[in-house]
Amino acid sequence: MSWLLRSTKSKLLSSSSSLSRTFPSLSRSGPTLDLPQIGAISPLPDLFHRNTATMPFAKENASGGNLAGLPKVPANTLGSDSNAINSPRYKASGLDTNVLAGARCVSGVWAAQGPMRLVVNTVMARSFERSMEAGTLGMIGHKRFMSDIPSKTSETNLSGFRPLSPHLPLYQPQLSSTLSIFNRIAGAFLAGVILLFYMIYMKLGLVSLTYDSFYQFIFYSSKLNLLVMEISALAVSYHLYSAIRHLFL
Amino acid sequence: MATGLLKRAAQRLPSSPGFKLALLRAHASEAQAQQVEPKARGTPTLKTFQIYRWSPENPSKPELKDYQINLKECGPMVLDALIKIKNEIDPSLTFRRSCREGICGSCAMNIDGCNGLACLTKIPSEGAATTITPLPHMFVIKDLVVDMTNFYNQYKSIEPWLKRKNPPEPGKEILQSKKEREKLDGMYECILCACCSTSCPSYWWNPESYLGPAALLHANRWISDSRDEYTKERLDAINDEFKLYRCHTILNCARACPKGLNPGKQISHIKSLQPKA
Repeated sequence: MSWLLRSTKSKLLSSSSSLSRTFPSLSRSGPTLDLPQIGAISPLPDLFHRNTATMPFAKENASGGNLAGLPKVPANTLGSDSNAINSPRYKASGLDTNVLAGARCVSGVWAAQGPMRLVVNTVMARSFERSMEAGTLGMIGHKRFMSDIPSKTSETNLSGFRPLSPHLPLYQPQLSSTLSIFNRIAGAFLAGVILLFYMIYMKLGLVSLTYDSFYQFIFYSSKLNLLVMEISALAVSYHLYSAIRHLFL
Repeated sequence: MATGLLKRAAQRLPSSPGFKLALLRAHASEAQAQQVEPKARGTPTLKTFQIYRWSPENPSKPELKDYQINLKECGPMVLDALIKIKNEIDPSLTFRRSCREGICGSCAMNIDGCNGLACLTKIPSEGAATTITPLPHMFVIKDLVVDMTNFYNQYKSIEPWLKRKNPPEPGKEILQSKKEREKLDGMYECILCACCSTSCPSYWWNPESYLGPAALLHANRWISDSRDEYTKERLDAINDEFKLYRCHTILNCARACPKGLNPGKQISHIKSLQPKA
């Protein structure tokens, strides 16, 4: 079928009888409509992410070929994409058709409309599926243009609210994360102990406090010093172990 | 936050006497994923799946919905169960999937508290209910589908392509020895499933300023490539207190990676290559 790609419009018109025999589904559709010129079709801003990027191409396309915008199809209609491809305006465009598709340009439609590929020269879609390639579409050598991916999360979030998925309460504690957080806890504990003991036992003599309850608290809580020392020794050893283990990551 | 999740979290937190022992028991072990219990023949084996449900059409509080399936009529992987639930029980359940073999990275989700690919995770034993939630700390689009825009933009920001100051002559390739090629082992296999990034607590708290383990793993992949000549520029680009140094080597990423990679090790390599100020 490569001859069809190179044929002119007049040859295609002259061989319309053979074309209807080859593709019975085409003749079953309604009569072909005259496609208005490119100037008559206003660019559809809702189909494209950035309108300015499409204008230079549209201008240079005005000299040759037809620019067909897909008619708007009501959403959530079963097979709406197929209906859009089967619309008479699209079929009547003839050679050098450039498809301006929105975000609903999916591979299922193209796979179902295999024969229609032959009249399609360029596909400009907002997004393609990952599995879609030029070879899969049978459009080797044809031009493809895709818009850029969204640069901000808010550009894809039109409804306004999206919940944050559960993270800390749900995630199973791992051995690695437990060791890591205990390393931090040990470091914080050691810092607190060193600061507190320095303030109490090294600098307290410089402060003349007149509150008896303060000295009573220090005196009676000094029994806990041994316990704090034991916990500090454990923290120091674990902190040192984590530091050495970090070297052999 | 889902009410059911809070209840499960409350149940998971033990009382103070047995805190340490229960915490050790709560750790995910490697053998849990491999255990296979002998199944009784004849009787149906019912398995309950608690799946996170939220829909933008009815934006109510997210909830965990229970589904029961017969394991004898289902494949061995979690993705098989999800597809069965979607086909037979609830067609509105939404999740991403593609290759079914751990190559595309589409079906990444949190299964029983650990990140992983649904197609590579075996269904746990039929005793307890399995909890399936989307990847942690991501904006949920619907059910198990999360918004990956931020993740992909971070990957894009490290410019993951070959950059050369002296391009080769047309038709001439850039040769690389076997020893140089071996440096890329453990990095080129990344499938960009975001299991490692969304398991990192540092990425939870700094999701936009910190690049995350996945992007930094790819940054090291191009830094280590002998064919790339922009090594210094790449190192300078990520030499930032938040882009690179929010990594505290918690190493949840290494345990969450379904391909067995170690992004924490690669990030340490980047840190060692940074010039000493």
